[in-house]
Amino acid sequence: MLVFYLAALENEGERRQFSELYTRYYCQMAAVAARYFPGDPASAEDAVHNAFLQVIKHFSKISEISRDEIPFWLVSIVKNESITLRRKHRRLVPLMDRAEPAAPGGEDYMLTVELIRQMPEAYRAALEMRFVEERSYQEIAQALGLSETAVKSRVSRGRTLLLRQLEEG
Amino acid sequence: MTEQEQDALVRQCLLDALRADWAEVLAQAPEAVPSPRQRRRMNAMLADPVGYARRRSRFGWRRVLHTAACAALVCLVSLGTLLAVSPTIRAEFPNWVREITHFYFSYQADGLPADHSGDVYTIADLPEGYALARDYPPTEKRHEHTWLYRNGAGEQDVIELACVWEGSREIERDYYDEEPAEVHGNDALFYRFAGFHPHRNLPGYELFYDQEDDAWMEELDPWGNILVWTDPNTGMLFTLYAYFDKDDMVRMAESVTLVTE
Repeated sequence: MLVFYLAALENEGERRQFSELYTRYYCQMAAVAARYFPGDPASAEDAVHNAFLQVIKHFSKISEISRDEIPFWLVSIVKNESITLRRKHRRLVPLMDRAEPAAPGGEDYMLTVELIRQMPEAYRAALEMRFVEERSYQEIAQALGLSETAVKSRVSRGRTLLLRQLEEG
Repeated sequence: MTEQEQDALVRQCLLDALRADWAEVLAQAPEAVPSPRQRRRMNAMLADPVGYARRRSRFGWRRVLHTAACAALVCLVSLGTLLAVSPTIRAEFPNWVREITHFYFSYQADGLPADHSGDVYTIADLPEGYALARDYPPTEKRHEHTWLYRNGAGEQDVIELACVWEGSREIERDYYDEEPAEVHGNDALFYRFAGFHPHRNLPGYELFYDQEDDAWMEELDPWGNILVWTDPNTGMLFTLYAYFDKDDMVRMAESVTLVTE
């Protein structure tokens, strides 16, 4: 229940921490959202605002995230909130169609990172929501407009694919 | 490698992919100038993150329902059909004159025989976490008794029960839609908060009116719903104010009990 998530934000110190997070990263999150809503600043603002609501909901996880990872944790959230909002606006979610080849001679890990960067956004979003944002399957299903079964299947297949890539190169 | 270690590795890969995609964008992010609408809801969120997120999670679907209900009402009224949700709902409230004026749904006491200043009532079926916070006993001029319950989480999470035996009660028509209800099988009325009128100056709220932005009323904290019923034995009028839906409020109303000793 939301009330348990929000319990992490009950004391003055954590509320101040949230306020600092908001102030420090607002511009960067706005820049990410703007990429998904070119020429539509109102929707971009909505995506940022919804992302911070997710931050409130999952604030207890902040202590588990290293300082240099926090911006990219936030990027994951605002990016996926943008995707959710675009779906609600009945627009197509753009595929991240990158023509860049995989890094030649790169390590297995970097190849896996490149694999993720080339993954269709809808699949990548499910993985980020599960492993980076640690949302429940129900929350992911709601955000992406899928059944829980479809989400579990997508996450499981994506996880297997990435681990196989890490092992085999 | 354990499953947790595998999950951690997948997570790290995803974070590094995000870093590769977005590091340059973040580094070059221009200063964002929030719109007035964004500034207002930013301020509301930062002032009370917990309360704000809770209200958003609770009321989002109610706004959708209200919009759909209003659309349905417009369609049906245009056909000349009298609806159960129209202001002319029939309801029996013995010892009370019910009127609908320009601004109010009004209840006026009409010859109640007894003084109930000594009666103490309680809500037996309270939602989890709520407890009695304050008691407002009747005075020489105020012929009603009010009990305020809170759950300690925020200003909006209050439940207020009142019993009235003389005088009047008004509910603003601008902000509430009237619906029929029943408490213990007797007529009751449920007033569902419908939002603020954009041109009414409300004391205690900081108002912004932007000609270009029609959504500014959403930034005001919503009010709770109200359930009104009478006790057929005593004739007293009861009102229950809470941020709950009709079924929950009817259940609470039906659990209202006279405390004896």
